[in-house]
Amino acid sequence: MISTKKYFISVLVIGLVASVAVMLFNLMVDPLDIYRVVKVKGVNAYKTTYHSYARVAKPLQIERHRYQRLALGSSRTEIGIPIYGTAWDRMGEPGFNAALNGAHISTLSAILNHAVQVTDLRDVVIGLDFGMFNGEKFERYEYDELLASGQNPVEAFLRWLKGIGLTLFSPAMTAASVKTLRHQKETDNKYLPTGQQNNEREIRKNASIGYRTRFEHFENGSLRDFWTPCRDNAFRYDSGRGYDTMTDFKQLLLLSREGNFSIHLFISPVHARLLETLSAAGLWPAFEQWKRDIVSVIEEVRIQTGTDIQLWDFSGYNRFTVEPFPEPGNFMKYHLDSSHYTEAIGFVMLDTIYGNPKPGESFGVVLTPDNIETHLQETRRQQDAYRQKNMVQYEEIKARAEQFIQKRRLTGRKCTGKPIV
Amino acid sequence: MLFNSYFFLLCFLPVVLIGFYLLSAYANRDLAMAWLVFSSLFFYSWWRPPYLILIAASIIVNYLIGKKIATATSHRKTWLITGLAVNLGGLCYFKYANFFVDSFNGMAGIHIEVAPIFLPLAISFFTLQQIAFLVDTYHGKTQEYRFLHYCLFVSFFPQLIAGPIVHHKEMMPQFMVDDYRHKKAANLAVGVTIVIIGLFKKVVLADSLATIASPIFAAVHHGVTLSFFEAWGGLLGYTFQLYFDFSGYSDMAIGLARMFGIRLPLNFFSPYKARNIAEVWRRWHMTLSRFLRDYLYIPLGGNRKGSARRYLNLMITFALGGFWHGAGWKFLCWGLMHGAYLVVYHFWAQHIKPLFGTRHAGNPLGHAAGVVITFFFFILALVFVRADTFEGAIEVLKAMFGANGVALHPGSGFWIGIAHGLGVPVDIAADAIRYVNQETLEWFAVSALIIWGAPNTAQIMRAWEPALDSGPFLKACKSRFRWNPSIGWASSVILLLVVALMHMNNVSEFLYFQF
Repeated sequence: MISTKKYFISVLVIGLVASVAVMLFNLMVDPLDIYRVVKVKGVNAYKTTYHSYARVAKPLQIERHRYQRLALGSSRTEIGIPIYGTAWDRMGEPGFNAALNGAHISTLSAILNHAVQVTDLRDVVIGLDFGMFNGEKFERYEYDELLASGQNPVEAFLRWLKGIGLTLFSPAMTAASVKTLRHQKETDNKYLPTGQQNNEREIRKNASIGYRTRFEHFENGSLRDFWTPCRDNAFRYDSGRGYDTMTDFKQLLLLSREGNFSIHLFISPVHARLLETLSAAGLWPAFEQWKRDIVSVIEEVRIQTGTDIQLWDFSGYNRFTVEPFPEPGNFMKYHLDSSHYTEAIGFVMLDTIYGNPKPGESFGVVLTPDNIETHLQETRRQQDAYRQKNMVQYEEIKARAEQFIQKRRLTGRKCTGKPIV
Repeated sequence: MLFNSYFFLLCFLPVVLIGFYLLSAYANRDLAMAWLVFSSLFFYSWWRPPYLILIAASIIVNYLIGKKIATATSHRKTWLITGLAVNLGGLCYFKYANFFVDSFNGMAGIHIEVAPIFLPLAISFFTLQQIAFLVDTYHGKTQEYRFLHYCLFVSFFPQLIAGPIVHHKEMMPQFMVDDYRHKKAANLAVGVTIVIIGLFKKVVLADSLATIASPIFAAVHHGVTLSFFEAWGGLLGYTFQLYFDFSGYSDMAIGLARMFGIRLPLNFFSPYKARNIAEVWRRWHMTLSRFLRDYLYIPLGGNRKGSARRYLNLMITFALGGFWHGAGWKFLCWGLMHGAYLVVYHFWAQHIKPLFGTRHAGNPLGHAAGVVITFFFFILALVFVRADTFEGAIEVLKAMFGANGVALHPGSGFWIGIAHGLGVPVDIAADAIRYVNQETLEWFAVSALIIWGAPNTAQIMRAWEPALDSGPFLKACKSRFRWNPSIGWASSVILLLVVALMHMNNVSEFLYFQF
C-alpha cells in the first residue's frame, strides 16, 4: 500500500513519461517514412508496414516533404505510374505517387485540395477509372482531419497535432513500429519511398498465385460490386443520397484555378479481359457514356476557367492490353492482373502524355468533344475484332457474369439514384 | 466538449481542478463553487455557444418557479403546472417539433415546411432533472435554495451531458460540506482511477466494437441484404458497444465528480447480468428508471389500482421513456417492447411463478436461463434503437431469424463441420460473412468475459464508497478485485491510461449524447 497522494502523483507522472516514451519510439522507427530522423539498414530502412497505412501517410508526406509533382488515382496509378525515369521526371520538381488503393473520385479531390494548400504544386497526373465514379460505392476520405482546408494557422496547428497523434501516439502505429523492426527484408517492402507500389514484389507474388487466378479474382470483384452493387445492374453517379461523383470530378478540375499547376488526366488501361467482362456484364453502354460525360465536364471547365486539361484514353484494345497469359514460370510484362498494369506501360504513358514517346511505342488518344464518338466507334470495332479471335474466353466470362448478375438481383443493394444510361 | 478528447483531459480538466483546489484553499468555498459553475457553462458552450442562453434561461426560470413553489402560500399547484409546461414545452419544441410535423405531413399527405431545429446538447437531461426539482419542491422534499448551488446542481459538468439524473436533495448537502478539502488526495486517487477505467471502456472497448457494428447497420441503411451471421454480428457488436459506451461514460461521470469531492449516484450496474427485465431496469440507466418510476409510473397509479391498470401504467411509462430517448417511431417501438416485456414479466411473477413454489429458488441453471432469456429479449429491442430506420430494423430482424437463409463461408471449415455434425442445414456461400470475421468473434469473447465474468467498477472500488448510496448494491460482492492505492494497481491503471490515450486518436462521440 502507498498513500493516496503518492498513488495519484505516480499515475499522472509515470503515465506522462510512458506516453512520451511511446512517441519517441515511433518517431525513431518512423514506420510511415514521414519524419526521417534515423534510417538504419537492417533496423528500420524498409517501411514494411507502410501499405497498411498509406492513406494516413500520403497526405502527411505531401505536406512534410513539399512534393511538387504528384500522381493521383487508385491502385492502378499507385502500381503503374513511376516517378522517375520519364519525360515527366525531367521537369525537375520532387515527385511523389500519392495515389491510394481503392480511391474514389471524392478522395482524389480531397487529396488534391490538400496538396494545393500545403505545397507549391506544379504538375499533377491523375488516373481515372470507371469504378471510381460509382456513386453507390461512395466513401469519404477517412482521415479528413489530416487534410488542409485553408491557410488558417490555428487549423494548421490542430492538423499538425492530429498528425502527431495518429503517427506517433496510436496503437496502430506502435504495432507498425514493432512489425517494421521485425521485418527488414527487401522482399517485405511493398512500397517504394516514392509512394509507388513495388512492381517487382507484385510480379513475383503472381508467380506463386498464378495469373489465371489473379485475373479472375479481379474480374469477379468487379462483377460483384465494384462497378455496381445494385439489384438492377445499373451504373450511377448519383446515389440518391445527396452526392454525385460527376460533381466531385468537376470540383477536382476546378481546383486548377487555385494554383499555378497543370493537370493531366488519363483513363487507366486495363487488360482486354476486363473490358470483355464489362461488356459481358451489360455495362459497356454505361462505360461509353461515362467517357462522354467526363469529356463534357472537362469542356465545361475549360469554358468556365479557360484552363485546357488534356484527357488521354489508354483504355481499349491495343498491343499492350491484349497481352496473353505467359507460359508457366514466366511473367507478364505489362499486367499484374486484369485490372492492374505494370510500370512498363506506365513509362510509355508518361512519355506519351509529356510529348516524348519512344518511336513506335506511343498509344492512347486525347479525347475531345469532337473526336469522342469516332473514338468510341473505333473501340467497338477493336472489341469486335478481339472477340472474334477470343470467342471461347468471352463465353466463359459471360457465363460467370450472368451468375453474378443473377445473385445481385436477389441480394444486391436497392439503389435509388438515376442510372446514367 | 467530449470526455474522451485530449482537450478535455489534458487542458480543461487540469485547469478546472487546479482552479477549484486553489480557490477552496486560498479563497472561499463560494468562489470555488462559482468557478465550477463557470467551468461547467464553458464546457457546455464549447459545443454550440448560442445554446448557453438556453441553459441559462432554463436554470433561471426553474429556479424562480421553484422558489415560488417553496415560498408561496397559495397557487403552488399553478406554479408547478406552469413550471412543468415550460420545461415540457421547451423539450417538445427542440426535440419533437420536426418529428411531429413530418409525421403529420406523412399521415395527412400535406407538406408543412418547418426549418430543421437542432437539438440542444443535454436538454433531455437537464429538463428532467429540473422537473424532478419542481415536483420535489412542491412535495416539500427540497430545502436549500442558494442560486449558486442551484446553478451547480443543474450544470455540474461531469453529469450535465448524459446523466446521472440527480436529485436536488442528494447534491445540495454535498455542496455545503468541506469534504473535498479534507479528503483531497483520496478523492483524487479514487476519482482518477474510476475516470481511467471508464475512459478505457469507452475508447478501447466501445469504439473498437463500433467498427464491427457500424458498417453492418450502414449496409442495411444502404439497402444491402444481410446474411444470418452478419445480422447477429451487427446486433451483438452494437449490444456490447452500447454496454461499454454507457458503462464507460457513467464511470467517467462518477470519477470526475469524485475528483471534486462530489459523489454521484450509480447509473449503470452490470445490467446484462440481470435475471429478468425488471432487474435490467434497476441496473440500466438507473437514475432514468428512478425518474420514470417516481415522477410518471407512481403518479399514474403504479400498482395500486389493480393488475390491469398496472400493466397500462407500465406501457404508458415505457412508451414515454422510449420517446424520451429519441423522436422517432423506432424509439416508441423500443419503449413499447420494454413495456410489454415488463407486463409479461409481472404477469409471470404474479400468476405463474408461484405455481412452481420456492423449490427452485437459487438454482444456478435457472439463474443462467433467466440471464440468457432476458439478454435475448433485451437485444431484440435494441435493433430498433440502432437501425437507422424502422424498416431497417425489420430487415435486420428478418435476417437474424433466417429469412435470408443461413449460410457459412467456404473457408469456415470448422464451423461447417460443427453445423453438419449437429444436423443444422446451412448453405455455403462466398458472401456469407462480408462484415464479420475471426476478429469479430475474438472481440465478442473478450466482451462477454468482461461483462459476465468480471466485477464492475463500483464493485472494484467498493471499499471507497464510489457512488452515492451504493452500499446496498455492493455489499454482496465477494470478488477478489478490490482497489487500493498500491504499486500494483497504479501500474495497471497507468497501462490502461496510456492505451486509452493512444486509442483516442480516433475520436468518436458517446452514444448517449444523442439523447
